[in-house]
Amino acid sequence: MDYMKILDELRSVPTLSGFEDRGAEDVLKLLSPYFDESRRAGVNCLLFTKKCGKENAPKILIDAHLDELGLIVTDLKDDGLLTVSSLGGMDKRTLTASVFTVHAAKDLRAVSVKKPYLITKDKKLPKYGEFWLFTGLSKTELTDAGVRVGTPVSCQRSTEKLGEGQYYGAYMDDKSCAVAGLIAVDLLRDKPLECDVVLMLSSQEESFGAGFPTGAAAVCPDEILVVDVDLGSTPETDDKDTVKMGEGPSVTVSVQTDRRLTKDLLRIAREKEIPAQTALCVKSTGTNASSSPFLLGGVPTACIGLPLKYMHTTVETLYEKDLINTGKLIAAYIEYRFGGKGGAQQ
Amino acid sequence: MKFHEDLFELLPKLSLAFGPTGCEKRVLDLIKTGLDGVCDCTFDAVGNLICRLPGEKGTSYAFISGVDEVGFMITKIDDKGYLRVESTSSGDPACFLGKKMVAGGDAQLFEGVGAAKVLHTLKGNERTDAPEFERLFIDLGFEKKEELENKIEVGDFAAFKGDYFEMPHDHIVGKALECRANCAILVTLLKLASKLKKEERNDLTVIFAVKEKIGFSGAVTALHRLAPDRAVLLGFEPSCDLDEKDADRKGALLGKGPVLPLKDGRALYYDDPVFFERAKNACGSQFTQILDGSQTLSSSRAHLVLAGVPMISLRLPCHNPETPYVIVNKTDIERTLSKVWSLAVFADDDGRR
Repeated sequence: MDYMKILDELRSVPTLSGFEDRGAEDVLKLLSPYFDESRRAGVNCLLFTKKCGKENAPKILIDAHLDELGLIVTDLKDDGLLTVSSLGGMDKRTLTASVFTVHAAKDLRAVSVKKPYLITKDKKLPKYGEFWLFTGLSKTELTDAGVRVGTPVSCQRSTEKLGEGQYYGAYMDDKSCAVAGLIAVDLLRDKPLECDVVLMLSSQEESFGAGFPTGAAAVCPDEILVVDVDLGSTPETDDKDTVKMGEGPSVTVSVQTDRRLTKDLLRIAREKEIPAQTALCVKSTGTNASSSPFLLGGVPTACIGLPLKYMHTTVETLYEKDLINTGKLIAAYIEYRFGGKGGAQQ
Repeated sequence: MKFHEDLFELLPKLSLAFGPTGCEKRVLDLIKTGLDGVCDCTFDAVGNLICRLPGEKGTSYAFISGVDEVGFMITKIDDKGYLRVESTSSGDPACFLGKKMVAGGDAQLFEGVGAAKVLHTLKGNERTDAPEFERLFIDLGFEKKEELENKIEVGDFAAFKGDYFEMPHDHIVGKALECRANCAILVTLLKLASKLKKEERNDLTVIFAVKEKIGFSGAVTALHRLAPDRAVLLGFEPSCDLDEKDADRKGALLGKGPVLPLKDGRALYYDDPVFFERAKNACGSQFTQILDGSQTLSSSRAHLVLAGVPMISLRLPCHNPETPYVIVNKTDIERTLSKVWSLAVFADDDGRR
């Protein structure tokens, strides 16, 4: 299985926060061949299940969010420029002179424009309403092309190699973690398991969080591994806020996550010699795992992080080896916990 | 409108060439190669490319365009191989993070990304203010400083990698188009004029000038030596039709022809009314936007050369100047070419426009 190719294909499908359904069919088509069952559930979530074949088997849920950051059209100006607002927490430092795609009846390429810095010398970042999207089309042509108030807009999608084994582009967050879940399922392919493994691609993590609890409710899992990207260390960042790039997935230690599950993950990483690191997020994980304490009747949940540099920009950068090791850690845990006769569940 | 195919074949190559201020040689070499066999091209003492096409129609013209793009100088390489940079001119610090970059010196170039600390760790004003350049860096994907040895050093340069593509209604988007489109116009002018006999054209010199972004020292020094009768300075005029609050202000519009400024903050271009009117009427005054220049081109210093060289400025309307995605219109490029062609070919007193 060519994981990087699948990641590329998955990232090429627009699934903007709140607009995940537009890409649902393409994502189902892409990932279904690797699972026994796939379906929609909850608020625009996708569920992919690998069954163990046993009746009433426990279920472990791997959650990675499907939604992406973007913009939304708020006005069509008379001169054809588009005013926009944010879908999720876009980094405003990236909004000047960037390329976007307006997802109307057909996709339109757009470039953000603002009053030129060499005249304004403005030291403030542009607010929404102080920059516009230029498509080259008139207002009438935009309307004819299906552009409306509420039309979603996404960042340019491409993948570039950066040095040895590093890749960058928009929307590694969080589709890389979906691929990590897929890697885990692939590694467990021939292993005897006593559980069903469900990969959930949840909606709205970047905005309103409606996907995770509603999708999980459709599964009623026994345990949950939330897999999300984690802040990778770079110049100007503090070690306490970030994890190291290239040194394996992080396991989040937080009051919001299950202590037993978290400790098991760290122990298994050591025993299996899978590179991993601890991320301390004492009060909040900042991921879907933060809502798990309120989930259903209470579901033990841990949070695994894939180190990523420049999160929420168009140059989100990951190490391929971190991606693989994240998949390995998930697989190793599932095998330890629910594997054949030797599983800890017995 | 029918476009000059040669010009728009050359333009993407010029747009994407690496040529930040102080490191323009790659762009100039590309221009020189394109003019092989067309005219005499030489580099002067400060690195400008001077192209001579003698003519006998009466007036000597110098056409000038800058070639350099907004760029950065590498000021430090840290232990993990990240590059710290400083803008070599007036780069917008809000236009750096997330942009594809190219860095290197005379020998090798490496691709990377413009980077900053992650959004989630920003505090207070960091969320509303553009970052200071000293807080920004370039990530080339190296992991140790030693890996960059003999590849990149402090004092080398970086610039946007950029892109080049077309948009509806003859718009084109590319890096450095605010100056490289003018370079393409002047290369095309030389190619077209070279097909005429000497007596059918004015005496032409084209200066592809270095360091436009920091005072146009290249153009000024070249004009000192050449002392032409008249000079035409090609530049750019940022579009101002972006904000309803400024609706009263008459700004440059894309697709309405080049801007012929009356004046800017440093020079009055109407001080030779005959020349000004001639430029205005060349190939049709309806395709000319007459405005005050919204910015002061540093090249206006050229007015002060010698006893004063009569000069007009033709400026290409654009969005996003000095970014990786400058937007211009093909029609404006063609009309600028028509104007400079008219000036280059017709004698001042032949009554033709």
